[in-house]
Amino acid sequence: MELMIFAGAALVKIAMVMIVVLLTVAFLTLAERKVLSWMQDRMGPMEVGPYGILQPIADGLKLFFKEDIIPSGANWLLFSLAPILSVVPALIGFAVIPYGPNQEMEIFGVTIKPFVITDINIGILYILAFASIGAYGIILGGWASNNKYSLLGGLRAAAQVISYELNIGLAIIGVIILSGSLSMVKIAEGQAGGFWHWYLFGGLQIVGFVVYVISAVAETNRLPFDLAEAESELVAGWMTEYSGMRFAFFFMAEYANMILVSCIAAVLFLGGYQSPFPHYIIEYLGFPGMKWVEAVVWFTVKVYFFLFLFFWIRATLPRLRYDQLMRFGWKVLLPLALANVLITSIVVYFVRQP
Amino acid sequence: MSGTEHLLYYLSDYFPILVFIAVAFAFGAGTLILSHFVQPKLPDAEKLSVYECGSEPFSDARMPFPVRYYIIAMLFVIFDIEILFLYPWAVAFDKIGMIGMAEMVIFIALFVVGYIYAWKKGALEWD
Amino acid sequence: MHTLLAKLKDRFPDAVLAVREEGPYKDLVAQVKAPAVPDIARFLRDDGEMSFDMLSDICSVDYPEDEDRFEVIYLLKSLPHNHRLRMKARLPEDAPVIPTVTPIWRGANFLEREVYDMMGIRFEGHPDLRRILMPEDYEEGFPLRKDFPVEGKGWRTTFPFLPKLDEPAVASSAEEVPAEQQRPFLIESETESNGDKPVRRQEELLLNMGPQHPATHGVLRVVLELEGERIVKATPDLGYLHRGVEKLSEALTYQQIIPHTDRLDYVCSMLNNYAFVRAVEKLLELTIPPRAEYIRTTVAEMQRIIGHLFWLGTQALDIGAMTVFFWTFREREVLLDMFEKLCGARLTLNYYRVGGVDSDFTPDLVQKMQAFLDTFPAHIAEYDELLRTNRIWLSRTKNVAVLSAPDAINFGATGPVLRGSGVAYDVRKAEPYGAYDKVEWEVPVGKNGDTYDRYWVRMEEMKQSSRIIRQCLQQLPEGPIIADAPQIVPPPKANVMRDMQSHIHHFIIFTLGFKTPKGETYCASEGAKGELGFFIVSDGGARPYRMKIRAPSFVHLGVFDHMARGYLIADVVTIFGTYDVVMGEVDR
Repeated sequence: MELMIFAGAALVKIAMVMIVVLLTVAFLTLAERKVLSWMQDRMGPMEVGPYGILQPIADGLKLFFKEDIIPSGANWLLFSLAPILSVVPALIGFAVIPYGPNQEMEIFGVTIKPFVITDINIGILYILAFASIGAYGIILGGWASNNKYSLLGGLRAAAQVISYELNIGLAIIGVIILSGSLSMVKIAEGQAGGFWHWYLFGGLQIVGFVVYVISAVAETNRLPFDLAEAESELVAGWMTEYSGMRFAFFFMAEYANMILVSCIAAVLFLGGYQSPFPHYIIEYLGFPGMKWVEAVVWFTVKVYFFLFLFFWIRATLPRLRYDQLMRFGWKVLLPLALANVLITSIVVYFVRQP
Repeated sequence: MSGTEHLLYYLSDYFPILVFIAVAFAFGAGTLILSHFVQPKLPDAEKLSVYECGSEPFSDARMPFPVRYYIIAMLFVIFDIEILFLYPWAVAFDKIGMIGMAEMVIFIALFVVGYIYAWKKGALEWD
Repeated sequence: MHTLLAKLKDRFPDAVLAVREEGPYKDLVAQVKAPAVPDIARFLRDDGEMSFDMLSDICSVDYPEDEDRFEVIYLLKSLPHNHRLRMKARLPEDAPVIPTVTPIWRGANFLEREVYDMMGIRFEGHPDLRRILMPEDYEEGFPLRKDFPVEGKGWRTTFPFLPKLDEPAVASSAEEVPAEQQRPFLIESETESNGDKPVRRQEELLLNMGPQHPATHGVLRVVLELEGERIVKATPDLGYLHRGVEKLSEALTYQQIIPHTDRLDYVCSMLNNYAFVRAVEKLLELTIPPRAEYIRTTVAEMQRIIGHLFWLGTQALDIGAMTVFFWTFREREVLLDMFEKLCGARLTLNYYRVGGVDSDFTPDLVQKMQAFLDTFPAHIAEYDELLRTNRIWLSRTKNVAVLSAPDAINFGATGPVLRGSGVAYDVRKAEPYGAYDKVEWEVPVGKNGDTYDRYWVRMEEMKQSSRIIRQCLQQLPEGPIIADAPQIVPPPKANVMRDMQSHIHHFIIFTLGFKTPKGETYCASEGAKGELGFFIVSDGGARPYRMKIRAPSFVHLGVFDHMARGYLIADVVTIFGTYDVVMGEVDR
């Protein structure tokens, strides 16, 4: 019985998270087009629904009903598997993201944490591990298409993703030293009490933060690091041969990944759901019971800040060249992240000395 | 609590992840299959041919590619494993004190030596 | 006689058959024997007094009645001394063979291929003599020969235009293209080293880039031989937009050709109009009223700004900076609106007329233009803010596709490509026309010949263009906008309905066209891409006997392989962008 309730609660939470993420993905595509349009003196989508707000639904339906072409030289199985393989890791990463306060509630005698699907003690490692699998989707998709542009895109993606994963791995070690835990929930909890307690400011993880954000943009294959796709060089990179729903999955994976890395950045560096003030505003107003609402809002605001940053960067910067990308990752970011680890550990060691 | 129960309790945290993976896979496969039934299927030779900007491809795309990519992959594996050792150290940072600290500085120094070696050897060059 | 001609005749008494100064503008012409062409060419290039360091164009003319049927004309330009020379050689019909000049001017590679393709003249010793504009398996002969059938069903009817939907899907497309077809795209040493069987190293692959590619600026195909991402050899494959404008114009009167020139460099059609009508006016010895000259100059510079804005937007877009593209199009829109007010069209403008222009500036338009000039510098600063201060942009353009000044001249590069390499050659300064010698402006020059320098040159040129426009508007004289030449310029429509003489002139000009004196002329103008030249051979009729267009983009694509080798795939799009290629002009 307990197991049933436990599983039921898990399923409900998973369903909620999936729906929220997929809806966000859908409207993120619209938001991106709108933000870019405004930055570029144009209107963006205006036809479907008022101000084009139904555009993502129209896009989704179109892709759903569109012919899904498998090119004649392609490997059928891998060609179909690749989009799924890239969308699944992007979704399941959300399992450990705490999007609200670490409260517990009891349903029929079973304790449940409503604001995180599961609080495993290696949360951040789990995300990194599954993010690596996402790269397989791109590589397999590129190889399976039997197209030279796809192959080049896949190779580029492989080299790029693994290079920048290294930097992400290094950049967050500073945060782990500060929090002493790999659990996302504990990391977020450790930053309570105002923005000067956030690891970005309080822990002086500014270098780590910058390295993380740059690497995160590279991880998600977004401009200026969208070399795997690089529409002006490789046509569409690894997804040149993809169409219909399979293409939609790659698209979904890209945007879900954007949300995921934004969530991680918010949790690790900006205190996650923590208010920037010592207490929640709603507590000052006299509704301490409702503070989870505000916490979720703070979390959302922080995530959207990063998402906006993604759009902003895309509108501003040109694309790097391949050798420059690799050089930047290996010769600039890696030493920076390493130095950050060393300095953080030494400073923390001496500060915490009794 | 017995050992098995302890393990079960411990694993109960991972149970939702298992469910999530299953749900995500089901979502992926299910949508593809559903879409498969509603979409038109009108293949022809031109449509199914490989896209190479409208020209006949000169050769099959699956061919040996330069060794550079393997070097990057190998470097990644080496460095990633080294970084992996930093995680337990960072988590246990407060508990292991001066000795742990010193050990890790030595470890990072070794890491840096390897890194400099790779740099000097030109493994980090994209040429 | 001109001293240069005398010197040439002295140096090669046998090989040079005749020298003369032709036409009203005393063009230098040397008639030479075909086998001696390379020797004379080398002398012309290397001699200090001659220094014909640039080969503008190679043209071919067919005279079926003559004993030596074909004539090959080399249009030479000396940058140090700023003079031109035409070297001509006649070839018999049964053996149309002439030695190549590619070792002397490397730019001759593409030019000779075009002559071979169009006229069937073989160039002995040419490294890669294949068809260039027509399909490689084209079997109907050589289109610019006078006996080429222009009516009836041709080769096109055998072409499978429609996809065959009832065919079964092919199982796999993994068949290799025959080695014979791969050879032109592989680097030379490999094809030679192993006899005649081309070999490829295992990890090198041939990649088609274009014609259907987002960054090739039209239907350009480039076959890349790649090692990983590095380019071993890049072979442009042209002709996807070949319309045969040169052949078409042989059947059209001079006024009827103007709309066809719109479609050459369709981004800057005003400049094409300008170059063409200038060539015809030179042939006719027609003087243009001053107001028309100023209007022409103003409009041409507006068009140059439009062209450069277009180039800036697309080059930035190719490199990944998408916002610049929309911002430049915002300004381009303002100028296009002015064009619409001026002549009713926005892209293919057909505004220039032989003898003047089609319609006059209104005060309202002048005011709008001035308003635009007031805001334009701020907009240029905006683009600079996004690009010139951006480190990614700098690293993507600096030291990419470097072209040294001697190479640029030798390949015949002109316009911003040449000026980016540090050679201050601008037709507007070297051979002034219009109102360019009456206004103050400068020729910006780069230093290193890399993509950044070419970018910088074009940005400066936009500023210079707005400077020219401003002065032109200030100095704009009153008066007619079209020459008073009843035999050539159609009378005003109002007179046609009232006045018998005007009626007859109108009828004659629009049915028969105006006649030009017998002769030939080459007239170069500064297009947005480089030296845009029209070479017209007239037999005294109302239609050109032969018209050759010297398209700068075509010549620039001849430099492509030289500039792309050793760079990465990502740089290929940078190089496309840095030439500012427009395929309408390349393929004609």
